[in-house]
This record gives sequence, C-alpha cells and structure tokens, in this order.
Amino acid sequence: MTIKVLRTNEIDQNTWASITNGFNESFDRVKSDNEFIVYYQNTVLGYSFHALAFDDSGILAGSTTIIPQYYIVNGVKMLFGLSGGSFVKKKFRSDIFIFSDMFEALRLHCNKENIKVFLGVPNKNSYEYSLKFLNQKHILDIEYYALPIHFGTLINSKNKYFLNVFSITFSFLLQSCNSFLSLLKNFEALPSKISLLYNEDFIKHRFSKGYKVIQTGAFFYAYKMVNENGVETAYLFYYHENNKKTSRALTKAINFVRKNENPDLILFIGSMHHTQFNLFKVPKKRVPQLLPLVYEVLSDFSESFEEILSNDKNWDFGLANFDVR
Amino acid sequence: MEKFVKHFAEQFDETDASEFTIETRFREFEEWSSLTALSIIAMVDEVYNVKLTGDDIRKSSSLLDVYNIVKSKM
Repeated sequence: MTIKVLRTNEIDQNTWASITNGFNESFDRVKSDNEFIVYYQNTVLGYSFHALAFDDSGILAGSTTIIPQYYIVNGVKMLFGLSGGSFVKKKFRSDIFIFSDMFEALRLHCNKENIKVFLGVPNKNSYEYSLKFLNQKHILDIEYYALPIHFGTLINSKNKYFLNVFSITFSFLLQSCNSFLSLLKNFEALPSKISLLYNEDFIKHRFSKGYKVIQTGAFFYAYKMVNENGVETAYLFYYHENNKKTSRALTKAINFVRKNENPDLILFIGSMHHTQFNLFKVPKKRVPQLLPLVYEVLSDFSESFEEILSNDKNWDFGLANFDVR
Repeated sequence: MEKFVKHFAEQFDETDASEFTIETRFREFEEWSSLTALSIIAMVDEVYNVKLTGDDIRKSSSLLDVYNIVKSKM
C-alpha cells in the first residue's frame, strides 16, 4: 500500500473520479467530482489536504481529508484541521490499518504546514476507531437545541392536525414572549477560549452555496433548509449581534426563519454559552445522531494547551464549524 | 489460555469457534475488520481489565501474540 498526501489542486481528474466513486460506494451517496473539489477548495487556504491510499496496482483503496480552519485559542490565531470525507473501499477493509496509516501521513504533512490540532466529529462506526487506533481524545458531545413548530408532522401522528395547531400556537406564544423579553434583557454568550475565527473571509467561504445568510443592522445569521424524510428542517448555523452570540440575535433569527420559511422544526446544533428561552435542549438519549467532538495535538505543546483543549467548557463548537447536513 | 481463546473466538460472528487455537492468525480470517478489532479491545478491557491499543493489535498476528500482550499489561 502506498500513501500520498496531496493538496486539493494537486489531484488529477482520474484520481478525483476514484475518490468520488469510493465515497459514493461507501456511503451510498451520489456526489459529483466537482462538488468535492469545490467543497475542499472553499477553505481559508483555498485547498485541503488529502491522504490517498493506493494498492500495488495503483488502485485507490481509501482517502481521508483535513480541511484547514483558523481558530482563536486564548486570543492566539492558529491553524486547525478538521477531518472528513474518510472512506476505505470495502475490498480493502480487512486491512484495518489503512485508515490509521493515512492519518499518520496527514499528521506528518500537516505538522509541516503549521496545523496545530486535528479535530473530528466521527460517526458511530468510526468513533471508537478514532479513540483506540488514532489515539484521539473525546472532548464533548455536541448539543442539540430544537423548536418544534409542526409537532404532528415531526412524529407523523394520526392527530397531526390537532398537534400541529397546538404546537404552532405554543411556539408562536413562546416567540412572542421571547421577542418582548429580548427588548428588556439581552443575554450575551460568555467568551469561549476556543472558537473559530469568524471574519468576512470565513463567512464568505463557509456559507456559500445552499445557505441563507441574513444581515440586518448589527444582527447576522445563517441557516439552511433541509427536507429530511418529509420534515422541513431549518438548521440554524450562526447567529451573532455585533460579532457576539446573544439571546436577542437568536430570537431575531428564529423569528425570521419562522416567518420566511414556515419550517416544521428549527434546530441549532452546538454550544450556546448564554441563557435563552427560544429553543429546547434535546436530551442526549433523544438526539437523532450523537456527534462526538474529538481532537489530537500535532506538535509539542505545553500541558496547559492540552488542558485548554480537553475542557469542554472552553469550546464554541457547532454546525458552523463542520457540516454533516 | 483456553478461556482467552474462547473469549477471542466469541468476537467473530461468522467464523466457527473450532477454527480458533492459540496459534491462529486471526487477521487472515475473511471476517476480520476494524469492528472485530474493536470488539476484541472491548472484550479484553471487560474481561481482563486491560487496555489494548491499536498498536497492540498491529503488533499481533496470532492469538498468542495478543495473549502475551494482555499478560504483560496485567
């Protein structure tokens, strides 16, 4: 097995076709080469880093990718890498170390590129592998917050109409109270020690195709509408007021989405770090998919750096940082 | 050692337990995958209270190799 690490723009068309086929086969998806290329180029560096494993006859066995992102850690800007797009073709899965070998190649390469930390949000199957084989560490399980608007549609109940009328009324009253409350009191998120560098460049790259980005005065929010098994879901990715997460910005974002999209459900997935009464925190047992955040430090850092990273309270991490939707 | 072989074989759903001896090269079974490897790690943790790593599995080709690593960590 040969492993190569390449930047997005260094991969030729034939290899892209193999990557796309391998990914689509592994996850039963229908992505195109171009979707991958655009996605991986749409980063703060203009490219991503890809580890590619080839067998002795040059056939692609697997691939995994690191997407560069700027983070602010205790006021210092540094480059992190978010892992994603990983697969090993079925034929090669008896060699359980292909994935860890690809990762090791990425570690060596990305360390030279000044990436300090790898992050990942592995799925159920690869979570244990990340801990045992890649020696990554678990930080937190990303929280879900929800506002069901058409509850009957969500649970597909026989009493859909009645439940929907009830939940529409309830959510309307809740939002009215929140709108009023936000005039009296605005809760501001406590500053996090670790957060993405939100600047114009990041926002331009992160929320390009498929996202709705709204800016009104000091308020800024981004969301995406996704139809999931007949449920119109509004994923709220980002809500800021003067570059800070506030309860007032959240209220405004939810009001906007409700009025303009008429969703069945509004979801925010991530850390909030402020008081709010708009969305209900979903108990861990009820989340549709557990989203564990894992990390590893690439270069030698002080123990205090590790301590900062390993503390879940230090992180501002959510769907804006990664996107599984 | 017999018990270890028995516990080890239980982690494989499709391979008959009779195919396992202490000399068996388990990575050659068709059923071998990262999920089986993780099951073995979990079994060793639960039964022997020993934490195996991915590297331990990489270093091992037979059951005896795993057994010796487990013994050395006990």
